[in-house]
Amino acid sequence: MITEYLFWFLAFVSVFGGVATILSRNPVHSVLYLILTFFAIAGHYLLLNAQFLAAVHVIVYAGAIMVLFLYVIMMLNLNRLDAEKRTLIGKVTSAVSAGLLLLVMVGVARGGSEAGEAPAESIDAGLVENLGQVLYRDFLLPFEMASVLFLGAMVGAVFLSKKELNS
Amino acid sequence: MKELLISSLLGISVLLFDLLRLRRAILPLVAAGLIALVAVVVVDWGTASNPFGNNMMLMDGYALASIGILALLTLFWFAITSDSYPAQSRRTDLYALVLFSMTGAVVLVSYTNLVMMFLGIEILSIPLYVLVSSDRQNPLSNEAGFKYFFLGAVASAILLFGIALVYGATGTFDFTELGAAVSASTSNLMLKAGIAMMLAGFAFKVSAAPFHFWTPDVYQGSPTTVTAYMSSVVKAGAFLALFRLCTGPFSAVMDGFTDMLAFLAALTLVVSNLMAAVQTNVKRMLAFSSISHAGFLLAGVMTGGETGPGILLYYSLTYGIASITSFAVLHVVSSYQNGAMEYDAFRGLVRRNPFLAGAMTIALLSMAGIPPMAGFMAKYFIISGIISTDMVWLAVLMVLTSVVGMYYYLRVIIAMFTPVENAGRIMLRGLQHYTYILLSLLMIILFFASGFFEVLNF
Repeated sequence: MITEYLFWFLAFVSVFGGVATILSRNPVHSVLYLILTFFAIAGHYLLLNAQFLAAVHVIVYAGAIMVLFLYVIMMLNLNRLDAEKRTLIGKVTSAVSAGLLLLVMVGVARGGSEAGEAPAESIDAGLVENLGQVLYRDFLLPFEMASVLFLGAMVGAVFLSKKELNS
Repeated sequence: MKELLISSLLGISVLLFDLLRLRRAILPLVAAGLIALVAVVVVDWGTASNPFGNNMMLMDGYALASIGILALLTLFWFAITSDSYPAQSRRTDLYALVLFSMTGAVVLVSYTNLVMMFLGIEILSIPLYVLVSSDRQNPLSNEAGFKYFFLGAVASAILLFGIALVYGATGTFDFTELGAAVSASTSNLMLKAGIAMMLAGFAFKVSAAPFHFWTPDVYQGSPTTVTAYMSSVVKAGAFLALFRLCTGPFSAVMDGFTDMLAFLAALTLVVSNLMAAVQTNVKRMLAFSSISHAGFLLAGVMTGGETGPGILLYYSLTYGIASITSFAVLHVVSSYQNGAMEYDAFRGLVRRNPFLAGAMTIALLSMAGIPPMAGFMAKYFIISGIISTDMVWLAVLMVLTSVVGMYYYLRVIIAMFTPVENAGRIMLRGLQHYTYILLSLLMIILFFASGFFEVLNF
């Protein structure tokens, strides 16, 4: 029972944080709301018995990446976002495309039945040991292929930031 | 497994060769590696294949044929653009990025797990974002890179959301289990929403309308050689991946999405052809023409069935060759005209270099679908496949939009045969003449060899 209340509370916080992130005028406020969202999502992970994932999520996202965001905002001196002019046609276009997306989703959902009950996971499914088993045994090939992805991204980053040799 | 190893090790060895100051050996290495990839496909052809990596990938007949075609297209791309980049370290990085991106395409045609599929899409896309913005002095190229990166990230997010919903509905990523779970619960709300979002993500990656808005700007802004790669290998890889998904685990519910795909295909055909007809820039026109071919390929995905894979492979190969040739010619022509890419830049090309004019004529006629070229058979297969699935209106629309296509392809051809006064000759270096001749011949030979693809059975 208490987990259900907790779920609704966390769901409210994460959706509120997400909406507030894009509605805030001040970029620093946006970042702070985003951190709130990340913490709420970490709480969801805990409810799903994914303890390790929750810890990593807080350290990597709420810690490292958000600090990077704040640094960029401070270095570029963006702490007051000038109210950019939104033209009427821009507003109409975005409203129409968002409405179309909703239309497609409603059209697909029409006549569908609701999803069944999700199977219960065991309590220690999210421990480091079990996660490691899944990552390095069941999903070893995707894990290795991700290295090709990162190598490509690394070569690309070096390529884009390297000085021209003959200019 | 061998195919995957060869393609990913090839990219890494290019980087190593650069480190060891063996820059002259890089192009031969790439050629040898890609030929080895094709050879492995030929040797493995017909042998029973087992899934590997804990059911992550399966090199079945479809995957092998697709890898063969992707390797061939990449080989043609390297052969035809080899002289476009000055011999320096920048070139090595570009080659490595192209090869990494091709590795993503190899993953995309042989996956049997949704995790692998998403990784394949990302391995294909991320080097491309860099390749698109590789002309760093050109603001258009930077803009194209930014647009492609941000929109591509949004599309990946939608695709990933779809995968998450499908996982939530079925509890598995694996194709075999997924197929069973999907056919057991065809009306599951979460499953249908997930598949719709995955299709939307793919529609972006293959640039089908109304998800095509990035394509003209990105194709125009990126260096022409990169555009040639995007419109051939990348497009083929994305479509072959979509086909593997639609005819594999989701085949049980695909009937419910036929209307959606048919609408996407119809809209793609109409919008792209009308937009292409009013362009004044040949590169932008070819970009819209590439979108219109996405409409045909989307219809090919819907055809499915026994002959479906063969038709799709045939279309990917013929369109890939034609688009590599046309973008390569455009690159050479515009580099002799201070980067001008209007129709006028092509005036008198037949006098300036008959090889280029001939190859461009054959490539454009193939894209337009004129009989002695392979493009005619490709369009014919897809239209007859669509008629056999009782969607005559779509087939009629395809024929009508092809007529519009004829108009803007012929404009280039007419410009090439318009005589001009004192135009300088265009010189081609090294093996380039032979590459153009080979590709032109292939576009005609494939017309007569089309029966082989039609009976290709997996």
